[in-house]
Amino acid sequence: MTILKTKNLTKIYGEGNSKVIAIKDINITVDQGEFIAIVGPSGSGKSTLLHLIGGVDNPTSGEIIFDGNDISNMSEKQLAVYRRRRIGFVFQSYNLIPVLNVEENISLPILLDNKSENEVRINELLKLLGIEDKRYSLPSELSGGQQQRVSIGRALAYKPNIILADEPTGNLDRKNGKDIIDLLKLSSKKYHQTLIIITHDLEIASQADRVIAIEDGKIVKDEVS
Amino acid sequence: MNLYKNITLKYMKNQKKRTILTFIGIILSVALISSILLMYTSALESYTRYAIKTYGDYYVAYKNLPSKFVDDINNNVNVQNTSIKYSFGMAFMGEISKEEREYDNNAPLFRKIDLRAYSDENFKQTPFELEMGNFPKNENEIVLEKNALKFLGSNVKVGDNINLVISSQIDSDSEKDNFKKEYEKKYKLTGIKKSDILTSTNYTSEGITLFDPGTIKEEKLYDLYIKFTSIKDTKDKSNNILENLKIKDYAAKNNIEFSEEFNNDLLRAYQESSNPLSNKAVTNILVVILVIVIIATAAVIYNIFNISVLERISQFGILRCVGASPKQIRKIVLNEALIYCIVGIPIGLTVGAGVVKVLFLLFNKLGKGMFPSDFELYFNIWGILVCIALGIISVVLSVIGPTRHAGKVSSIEAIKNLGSIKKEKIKKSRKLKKKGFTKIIFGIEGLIASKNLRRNRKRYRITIFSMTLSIVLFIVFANFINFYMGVSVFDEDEFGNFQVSNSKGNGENILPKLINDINNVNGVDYIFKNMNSNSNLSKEKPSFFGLGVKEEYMKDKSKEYIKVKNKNGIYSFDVEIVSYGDEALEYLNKHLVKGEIDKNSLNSKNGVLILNKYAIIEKGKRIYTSPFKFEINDSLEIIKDNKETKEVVISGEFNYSLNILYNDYNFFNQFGL
Repeated sequence: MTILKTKNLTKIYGEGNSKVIAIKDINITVDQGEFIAIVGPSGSGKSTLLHLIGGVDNPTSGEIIFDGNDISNMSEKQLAVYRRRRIGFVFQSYNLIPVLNVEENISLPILLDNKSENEVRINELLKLLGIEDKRYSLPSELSGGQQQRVSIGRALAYKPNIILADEPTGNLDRKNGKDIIDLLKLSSKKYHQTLIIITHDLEIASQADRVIAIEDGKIVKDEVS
Repeated sequence: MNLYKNITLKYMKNQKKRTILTFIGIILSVALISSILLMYTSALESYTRYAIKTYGDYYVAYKNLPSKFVDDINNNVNVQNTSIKYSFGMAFMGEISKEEREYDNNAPLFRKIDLRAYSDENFKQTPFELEMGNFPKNENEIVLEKNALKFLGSNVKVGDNINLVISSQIDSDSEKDNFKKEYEKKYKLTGIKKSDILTSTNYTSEGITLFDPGTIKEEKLYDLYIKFTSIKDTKDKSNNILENLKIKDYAAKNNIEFSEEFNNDLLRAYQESSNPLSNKAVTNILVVILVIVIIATAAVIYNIFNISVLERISQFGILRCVGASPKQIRKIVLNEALIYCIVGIPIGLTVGAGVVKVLFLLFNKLGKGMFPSDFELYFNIWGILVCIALGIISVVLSVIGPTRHAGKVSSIEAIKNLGSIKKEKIKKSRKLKKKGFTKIIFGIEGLIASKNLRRNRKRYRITIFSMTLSIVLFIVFANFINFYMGVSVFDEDEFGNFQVSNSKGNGENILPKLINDINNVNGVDYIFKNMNSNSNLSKEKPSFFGLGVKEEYMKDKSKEYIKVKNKNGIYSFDVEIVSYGDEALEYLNKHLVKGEIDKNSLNSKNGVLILNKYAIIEKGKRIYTSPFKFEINDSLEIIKDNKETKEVVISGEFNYSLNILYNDYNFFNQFGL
């Protein structure tokens, strides 16, 4: 079942001399439950594509159809709800809120939706991520690997349709990196979520169902393994 | 707990130093605003209470009101309450001795007590303070002033019965009339009244007894004290009563000296004085100061909030990624402001009240005698509400900008960890030119500093702006205080360490001897003599001294203003004739505009110095002009007692308001002092 579709997606930064075409005429179709790895050199437009799909950036032209709705025409408020309920972001630099503890960071999307946190769900996530004993710690008291686990927890909290991970292992050692990828794979399987990962690591890419290679803002390869 | 409050509180706890700083900023602003307002409202309240205590708690008094009007006035809808009193005669307290009358040639023939009967209410409504004892409880009990006691007999004390010799005459001019005894009455002395500086003298005092207002007699005249339901339009309300009841017509027909007397001090205190200008001026000054304070404090709080928002740009970005809407982000910042308000404003109010309390203590101690009454701190619910509102306004004004900024944070910028740096525009074109200048003066450190300032122009401007305002505030307040303190200091220094004055014309022989005696006292450094003779040119009161000026010396414009002209074409003025003593001549020399000051030539040709400047009020503005076209050696007339004239010659001219300056010799010579 198709969950996401882009039509001639284009993003151009700046004007005149400093004009940069980040991506141009990208057309992809993503199915529910798919595990996609996006690869490509620095500055090729991978992150831009991810941000456009995640609704944090607006395309210059083209459409992003999520579940039948074009998110490129949504208002700021609608986009916020879209990000909150449909998308889970995992960043290279974790991006946790430093003043909130682990539990609060994880339940953030739920709380932002004005719902009370689901104790069972949080316990389940903490157990899954193996950080049950860090429940009340602040991000500054955690190691990099632990912080990334928290950020995955946050991404999974609302049971979103798509998890977008931008080089989630970039700041981690090999062992931790492998654990994180395993976690992401495990949870996407478990909750039947789509997982889109940007990575430079070919080993990670090889685990994906599908690899999309981008160069100079264009898809140069899109194959199912 | 609510998510926003949670995030806000945690952030505030995390950034303790900044939080404390912000609190101090807000507390100080609110304290500043509240101290200004509290000072104003408390001073007004102090003044009002002082006015009530000193002048009475009524708005208007009808003196010598025929009794037939009393009921009608009491029933008027605008009247809240009234009280009544009347004079019923005077008591004889002994003749004034010849020696005493020789000493004071204004002294009357006998000493007396003015007898008055107050209704119960009147004791509360008119200023009345007992030094000891109780109020009279019936018409056979009386309260006297302390200075009357010693003439009643040696051992009279509260509780004793006293016998008064009474005449029912009320308006006796005791300088001429003899006392006509009519009857005697026994009173019980129940209390001693504090002497009233306004009415009691060495020769006259007050005796007060009680009467039942139900027993007013038809033929008598009463004094009625009226308080209206509200102070607003007191004068109109009183006029309405007088007109509706035709009181003035009745009084004129029956030859009654009726008068309407407003309690102007109280009305002024209530801001209802006859001159609305003075109130508006104070209010305007207050508004201007408060606006400056609010802008200044808002700028400071804005700065703090803006920095706090800029610091958290990336956090807001993350929240946006995770699904926070711009409204939610704004709520987080507003929550912070709310917490600051809830905690900061009450503390600020308390601090402000404390500051005012201390200031008033200082005022009352240092400025004793400067103000009519001591200042006390009074809380006025409206004043406090206005303080809270102004505090909230300044916080709201200062968080609008940062809140919108926070709401506009783009998640993509935050993810890229660029913060707000991207928005800053560094003007490259001016780089080279400025570089040389800054570098030469401040070196490389200065160059980096100036680059940093230019990195964020908005913040730089706000900082400069708040510093400027702070300096403006400081100057305004410093001047204000200096002005007030200066007034009292000036008054005392102006006249040396002590003064001896003699205001009557009969001290002919005392003055030169007195000056000599004082000069011989050890430690006297210098005697500054100031002899003057003030006069008043009006039809009712013949002037003591006047200045006669021939028409040829008058400027055309002056003729319009000075209309008093006698048959010989001489214009006359009231004029102050002053001598500051020969010692002052040397000093005065420096200020001379025309002519010269030489003691001998002044003496020989009867010379005077003239201050040739006159203030006229035209279209509400004060204009200074010199009204005369005098030249040196022109002659003037000094008019004495409106008949006798003396010719003097102008020897010098100053550019101050019109006065005639004599030297010692001529002053003595001509005015016989």
